[in-house]
Amino acid sequence: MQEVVVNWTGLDWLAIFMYLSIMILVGWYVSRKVKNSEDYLMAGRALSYPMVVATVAATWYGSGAVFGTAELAFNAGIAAFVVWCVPAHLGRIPLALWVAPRVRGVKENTIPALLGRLYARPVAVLGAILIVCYSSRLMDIVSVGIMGNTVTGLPNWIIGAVIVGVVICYSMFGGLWSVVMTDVLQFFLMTSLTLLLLPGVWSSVGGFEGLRAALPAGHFSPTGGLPVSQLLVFFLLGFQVYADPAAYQRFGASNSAKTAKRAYLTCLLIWMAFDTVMTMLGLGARVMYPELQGSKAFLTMAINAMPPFLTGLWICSILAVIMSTMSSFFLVGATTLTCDLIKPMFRPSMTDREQIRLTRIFMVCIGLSGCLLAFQFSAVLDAVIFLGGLYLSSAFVPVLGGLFWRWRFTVTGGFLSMLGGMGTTLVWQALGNPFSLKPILVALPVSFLLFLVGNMIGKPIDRNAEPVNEC
Amino acid sequence: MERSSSADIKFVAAIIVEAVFLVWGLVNGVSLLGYILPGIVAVVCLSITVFAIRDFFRQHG
Repeated sequence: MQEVVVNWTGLDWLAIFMYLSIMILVGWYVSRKVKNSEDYLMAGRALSYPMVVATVAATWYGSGAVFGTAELAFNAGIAAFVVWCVPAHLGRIPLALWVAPRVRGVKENTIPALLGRLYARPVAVLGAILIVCYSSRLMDIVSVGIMGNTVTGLPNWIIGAVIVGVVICYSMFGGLWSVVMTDVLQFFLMTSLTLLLLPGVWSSVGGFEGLRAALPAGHFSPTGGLPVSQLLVFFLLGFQVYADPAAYQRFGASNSAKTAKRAYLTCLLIWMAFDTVMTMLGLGARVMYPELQGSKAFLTMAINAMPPFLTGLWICSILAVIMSTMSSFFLVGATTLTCDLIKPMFRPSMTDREQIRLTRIFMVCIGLSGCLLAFQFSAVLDAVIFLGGLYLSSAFVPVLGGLFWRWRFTVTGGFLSMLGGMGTTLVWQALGNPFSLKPILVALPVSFLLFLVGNMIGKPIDRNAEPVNEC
Repeated sequence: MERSSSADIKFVAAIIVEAVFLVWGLVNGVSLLGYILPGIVAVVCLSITVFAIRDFFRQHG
C-alpha cells in the first residue's frame, strides 16, 4: 500500500488562515447591511441573477460532488459522468423551468411553512424535523475531517470542529446575506482552483492516451459495468434537489421568478462542466495512485502537484465547496426551527430581533450537534445516500404534490405520503435492503401511492389559505 | 412572454448540447478537453463572481 506523503508547510497554514479570516470578515461586513428579519432570513428577496447563480452552485456542490464524483470515476471510470451526473442534471431542467418560478411566487419562506399552509401543522412539523436532521450536514463534516487529517495529520474531530466554528461565525453575523456573499467568493475559489489542477494532471498522465494504456477498458464504458439498480439509485438521488430546502430558500430570495429560473438553468451548464473535470481528475488519480482509496488518491494527487502555499490555497478551494454548503444548511435548519417550530407553536408574537437572536442560537446548536454525530459514519458516499434518501423519500411527493397536484388533495394525503416515505426507507434499511433494492427505490413509489390513497380521505384543502407563519 | 419562452428554450438546448458534447468527448477520449474546459469554466465563474459583487455594492451603496 502506498503511503500518503504530504509536505504541509507553514505557508500552507498561512493560506488556510487567510481564507478563514477573509470569510469571517466578509460575513461581518455584509451583516452591517442587514436591517430586519426579512434581510436576515431572505436577503430582502433582492438576490440578483449572478448572486443566485453563485450561491445555488456553491451550495448544492458539497463534499459528495467533489469526492463522490472523483471517487466514482476512480472506481468505475467515465460512467461517473455519463450515468450519475448527466441524468441528474437533465432531470433538474423541469425544476428550473417550473418549480423555481412557482416557489418564488408563493408567500412562504420555507418548505415547512408551505406544507403547513397546504396540508396542516402536523405535516409541517414532520417536514421541519426532517429538514433540521438533513441540515446537520454530517457528510460534509466527515469529509472535512478526513481531508484535514490526511493533509495535516491533526485528528478528524479537531479539523471538523474548527471549520464548523468558522462557518457558524460568519453565517451568524448577517444570515442569508452573509451566506450568499461568502458563497460568491467560495464559488470563485472552488471553480477556479479546483479545476485549474486538471491541466497539470492531464499532461502528467498523458491525456486519454495515457489513461487508456494504464486503466482497464471498463473505465471507458459509459455504464462502467454498474448494476441497473445502482444506476437507478444514482438517477433518483439527482432528484433530491426537488425537495432541497436551501434551493427553495434561494428561489424565494431571488429578485424575480425569471431570475430564479435563469440562474438555475445557468447552474446546470456550470455543474456539467465541473463534473466532467472531476471525472477526469478521478481517472488521473487512479493512474497516479492506484493503490490508494479513491478520495485519498484524489487528495494526494492534488497536494503533490502543487508547490507550498498553492497546496494550502487548493485545500481552501475544497474547503470552499464544503463550507458553502454547510453555511447554507445551518441557516436553513436554524430558520426552520425558529420560524416553523418555535414561533408558530410557542411564541407567535416574536419580534424581529428575537427571531434573529433565536436563529443564531439554533445555528450554533445545529453545528455542534452535527460535529458530535458526524464521525459515526465511515464512508462519505454511504452517508450521502442514506440521508439524501431519507429526506427525499419523505418530502419529495408532498412538496411537489402541494405545488402542482391539480386534483383533489387532502391533509391525509400529505401526511401519509410523508410518513410512508420515511417509514419505508427506515424499515427497508433495517431489513438490510431485501432483493438488493436500495430503500429509495421502494420508498418513493410507496410515498406516491399513499399520497393518492390519502387524497381520497377527508376534506379537500383550500389552496388559497393564508400563510401559517410571518417569518 | 414569447421572448421569455424562447430564451428558456435556448437555455435548455444549450444544456442538452453541452451534455452531448461532454459525453462524446469522454467516450471518444478527446484529450483537449482536459486543457480547455477548466479555463473556460474559470473565466465564466470569475465573471459571475465580479457581477455578483458589483450588484451587492450597487444595492447597498
